[in-house]
Amino acid sequence: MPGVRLVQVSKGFGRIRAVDRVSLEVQDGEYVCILGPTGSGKTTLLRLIAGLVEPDEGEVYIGNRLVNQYPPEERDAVYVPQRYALFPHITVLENVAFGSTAKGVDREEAFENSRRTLELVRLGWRADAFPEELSGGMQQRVALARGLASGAKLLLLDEPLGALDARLRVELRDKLRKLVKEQGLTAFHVTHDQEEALTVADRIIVLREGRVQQQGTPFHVYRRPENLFVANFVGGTNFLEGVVAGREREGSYIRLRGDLQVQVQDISYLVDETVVVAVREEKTLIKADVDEEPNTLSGEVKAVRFLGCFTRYEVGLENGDTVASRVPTYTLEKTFTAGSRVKVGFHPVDAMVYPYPSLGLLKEVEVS
Amino acid sequence: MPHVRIADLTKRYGSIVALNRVSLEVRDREYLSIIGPSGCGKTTLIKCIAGIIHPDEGEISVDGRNVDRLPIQDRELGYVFQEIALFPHMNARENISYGPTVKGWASDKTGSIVTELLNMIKLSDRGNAFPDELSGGAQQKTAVSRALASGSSLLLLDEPLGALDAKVRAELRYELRRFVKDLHLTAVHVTHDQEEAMSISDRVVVMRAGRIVEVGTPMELYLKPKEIFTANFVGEANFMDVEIAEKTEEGCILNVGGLKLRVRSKAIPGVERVIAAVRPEFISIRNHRVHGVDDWLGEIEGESFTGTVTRYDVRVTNGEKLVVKHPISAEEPEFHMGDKVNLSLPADHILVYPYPEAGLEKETSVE
Repeated sequence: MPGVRLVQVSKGFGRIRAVDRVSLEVQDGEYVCILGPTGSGKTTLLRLIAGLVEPDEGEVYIGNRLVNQYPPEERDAVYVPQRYALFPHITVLENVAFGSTAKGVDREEAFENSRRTLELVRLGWRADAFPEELSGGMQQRVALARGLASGAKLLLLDEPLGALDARLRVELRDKLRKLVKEQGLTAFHVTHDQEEALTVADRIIVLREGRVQQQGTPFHVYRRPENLFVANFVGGTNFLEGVVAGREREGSYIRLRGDLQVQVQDISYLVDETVVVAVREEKTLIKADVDEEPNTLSGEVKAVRFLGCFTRYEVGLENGDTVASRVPTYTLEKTFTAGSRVKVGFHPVDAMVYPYPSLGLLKEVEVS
Repeated sequence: MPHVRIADLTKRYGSIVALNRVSLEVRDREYLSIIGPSGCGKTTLIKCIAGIIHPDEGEISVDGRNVDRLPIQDRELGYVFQEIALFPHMNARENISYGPTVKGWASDKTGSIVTELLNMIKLSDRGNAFPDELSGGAQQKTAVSRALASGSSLLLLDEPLGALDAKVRAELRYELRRFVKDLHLTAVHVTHDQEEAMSISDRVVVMRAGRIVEVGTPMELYLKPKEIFTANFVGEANFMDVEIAEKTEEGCILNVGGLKLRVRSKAIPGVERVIAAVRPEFISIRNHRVHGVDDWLGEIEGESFTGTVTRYDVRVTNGEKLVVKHPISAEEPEFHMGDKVNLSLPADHILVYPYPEAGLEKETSVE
């Protein structure tokens, strides 16, 4: 059974450490998303598991078997690259069935199974077409179907939905997860799209510059980001720089720029320590009037953007900081416009506090 | 003052009609986006405006002047592609000054424009960097600056953020809008990302199979889409195939598999079978009844956490399966698999469409 375990795996290309001492353990049947910006080592990590790249150091186990010495075809894994290569001279259906027929599966059975898989990626109607007759997005779906139909128990998918329209991507990601679960497969799904990862994964592994920043359930990664990079990369977040002004049993007080003060629940920092307070945009509330709640700051709406389900307000605070508030569109009794004077605030429990990074905040959260 | 008028544009490739009598006006200083599934003709349309593709029929005028015969270099527009296309052997500054230099502008004038543009894109300290030393986002901002350097006030953006990571894309889109507004430009932006279009545009054009389906402000398209295709394409929606049971003064009452659903929408004369559509976040979900509200009872069959919202699949007693999105603002997600819940669907936010001739699935298909 294909659980996957990596122990201190590293891989360098020239001076760059693409994957840097990565350890992880994935259970049989898990749907894992590897999330990170371009150049964070996601693809290399996938190729290390597939056996297409040899690690400089460390061990790769698939189903309790050390596979460092095994070629890709003996790993019971199928790798679907981002740049899909379909055979141009055979039909879509034959492309999908190729892996199984090559392995000696009965032709009729392989075709039947491939047809079903094509339906799943919504391309049953193009089964008899040749690859060049299809759009890029369709070809990617064929490549995905080929991977799914290969019979391998471990799926290694590199941006499997990357070439698709946003609307179709949303539809297919749910189907993909459902299929993996129904067939009892284990999947690694590489993506740079945090929403995709949050939606489909059992577990998310966040990578940056070859190193694992955090791994955990979507809920855990979203609610308890372990560092500022994760807090910024996953979700929309406001960052406020400040100094711990006081500590009491129920929480700490943080003094922000411009002598503003906020209250947080976290008491793990010492007085005078420089910290960053991070608050999710959707936990940042916006109101027209003053109220009794703690952490109410005054500001002026700078921009209003309608996102559909949410409306996003950018608010300039009196101390020069800018925060964004994401409000469910339907709960808006009164909408604010650019120039409106407003109050923004957050509950102490929704504030995440991090030590001020030695390289500075911008550098620490930088995506590229 | 670029005001673009497109009239009855048609473009065919063999038997495929890429554009089918498309008419559209782009207003001066407007940020207009074009969205639609792949193959809908959005790229062909923007390339026709640019003069890269010549339409078979119809005409395009800019500020009242017919530009059909004008080659691309004389159209006074800036064009930015998805594939970041900077000259690799020139630094950012040289890339941006390329247009003015070719046009033979005085070097001090060019220099000051380039400096201003570098300031605008917050790369004033990276002017000497070569493209491969810049991040993807910085490269694309440089490409936008290059498109603007010659002073064109019409900016055509063809999937300008398509090659970037989701996170970078979401940040850069606001900057793009800011450039356009600050410099009083007119922008046409093609994208496959509806949220991108919604969040930065004054108006959005929805295309499908070579035609324009609908044009509107982001709010109009999201809250009151005129077409069922738009309702599905610009955001998720639940669709229910229902009958009109009763017409009332303020709207009508629908029969949804035996359950009543009050809607504010006026009945459509002569139509009995309709599609009722409702966005998942407009359905309220509770664990108790509220007096005076028509509740539906259901059971949670699926739940997924997506960060800002929790999604529930709810099976209603009439067999209907509804997706409900519960935006997380201050409270935690409250429901779990198997929970019995009360749903209420807001009369104001239920959209009613005549049952489409082609059937619902065909009508909303994004292929």
